[in-house]
Amino acid sequence: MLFYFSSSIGFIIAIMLQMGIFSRAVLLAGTADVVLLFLAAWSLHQRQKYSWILVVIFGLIVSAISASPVLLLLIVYLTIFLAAMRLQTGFWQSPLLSMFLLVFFGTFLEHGLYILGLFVQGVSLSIGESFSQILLPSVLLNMLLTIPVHALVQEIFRNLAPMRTEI
Amino acid sequence: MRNLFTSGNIRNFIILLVVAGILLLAVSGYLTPIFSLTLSPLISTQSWLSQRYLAIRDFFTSPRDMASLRERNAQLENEVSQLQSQIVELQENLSQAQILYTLLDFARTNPQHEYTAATVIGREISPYYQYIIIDKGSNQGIMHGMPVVTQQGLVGRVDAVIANASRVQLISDAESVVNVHLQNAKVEGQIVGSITGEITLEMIPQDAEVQIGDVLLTSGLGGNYPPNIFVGQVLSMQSQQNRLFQSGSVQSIVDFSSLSAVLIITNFEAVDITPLVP
Repeated sequence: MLFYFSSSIGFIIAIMLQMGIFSRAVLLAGTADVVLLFLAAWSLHQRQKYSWILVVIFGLIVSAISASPVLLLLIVYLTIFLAAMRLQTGFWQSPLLSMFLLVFFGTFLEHGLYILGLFVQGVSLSIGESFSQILLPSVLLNMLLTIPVHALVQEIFRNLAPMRTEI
Repeated sequence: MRNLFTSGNIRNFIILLVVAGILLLAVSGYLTPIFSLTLSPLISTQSWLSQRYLAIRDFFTSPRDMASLRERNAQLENEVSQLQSQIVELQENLSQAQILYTLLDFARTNPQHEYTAATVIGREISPYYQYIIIDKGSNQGIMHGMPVVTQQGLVGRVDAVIANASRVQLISDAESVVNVHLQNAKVEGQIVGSITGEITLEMIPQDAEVQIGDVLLTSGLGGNYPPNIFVGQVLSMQSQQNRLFQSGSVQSIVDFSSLSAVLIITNFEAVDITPLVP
C-alpha cells in the first residue's frame, strides 16, 4: 500500500515539476520530459504485480492535463513499462544502462507518435524541423537528466521495493 | 637685627630671579624653539613606545576580539541575507503589481469587454503543443472558447476547463488558426501556428501589397475571437507566382515564453461553426 501511495505522490510531483519548470526550460524547441524519466526509473524499480494499473492511471491523469491524445500517452507509457519489465530480467545487474536505453528509445517512440498524431490530425509539419528542433534537443535533455532522476527514484524505492540479490 | 644680605639669602634670591626670568621668557614665547628641540625626541620616543605597547597588547588580546568580531560579522551577514531576501520578495511583488496594473489599465481602455485576470501556473507537458495552464476555472465563470489576452495583445483561447484551472491554447499552437486583417492593407488573412511556436500569415491574396511591419488585428470572422485585438506584426512575406496566396512570418506581440498573467474575456461567446463546415 505504501508503495502505491509513494508512487502516486512521486508521479504527481513529477507532473508538477514538468509543468512548472521543465516545460519552460526550452532548448531550441525541445524540452525534457521528467514524467517519462520518472516512469522509466520507477518501472525499473517496482516489483509489484499490479503496477501496470498505476501506469494506466498515470497515463489517464497526464492526458487529462495535457493536450496530448490519451491513446498516444497510454501506448508510450505501457511500452516503457513493459520494456522495463523485460530489461529487469535481461540487465537487472546494470539498472542505469537499462535506464539509458529506456529513456533514449522511449523519447524517440514518444516523439515519433506525437509527429504521427499531428500528421493524422492534418497539421502541416516538417519532419526535418521536428527532428532537429524538438526531438534531438529533447533526447539530449532527457539523457542529461537520466542519472539524477534514476538516482533519486532508486533511493526512494530502495526500501519500498528492494532490488534482487545475487544468490 | 639679623643681616638680610647673607650669602645664603643672596643665592636664593638669584635662583628665584633666574627661575622667574625663565618663566617670563617661556610665557612670552622666547623659549619655544628650545622646547621644541628638546621635546621632539621625547615625543618621538613616546610615540614609538606607545605604538609598540599597543601592538603587543593587540597581539595578546586579538583572539578575543576576533571571536567577537566574527560573531558580529555572522550576525550582520545574517541580517544582510534577510534583507536581500526581503528585497527579492518585494521586487517580485512589485513586478506582479506592475503586471496587474498594466492589465487593469488595458481593461479600462477596452471597456467593451469584461475581464477576469488569471495567473499562468504551468505549461503544456509536450513540446509539440503550445498551451498554458491558468489558475481560473469554471468556478470563476470561465468557459470553453473564451478569448485570452494580455495588455499587449491576443494570447489564445480557453481549450479545456475544470473547477479551478483552465488550459489555454496559444495562437502559436500548430492547430490554432486565427482570422486576421492587416490594419494598413485592409486585407483579410489567417495566422497559423506551428509545432515550434512560430506563426505564419497565410491566405493573403497575390495582389495585396503587404509591407514588413504591418500590424495584424483579429478580424472577428469565424466567431472565435472578438474583432480588433492586436495580434502582431508582419516580419517577412513570400510570394510565388505558382501559388494562389502569399504567405509570411509573423512576430507575435506577446512573448509567450514569459507569460505570467493574462486576462480572459468573459462576455464573449465563441460561435461553433463546425456543423456548417462541409
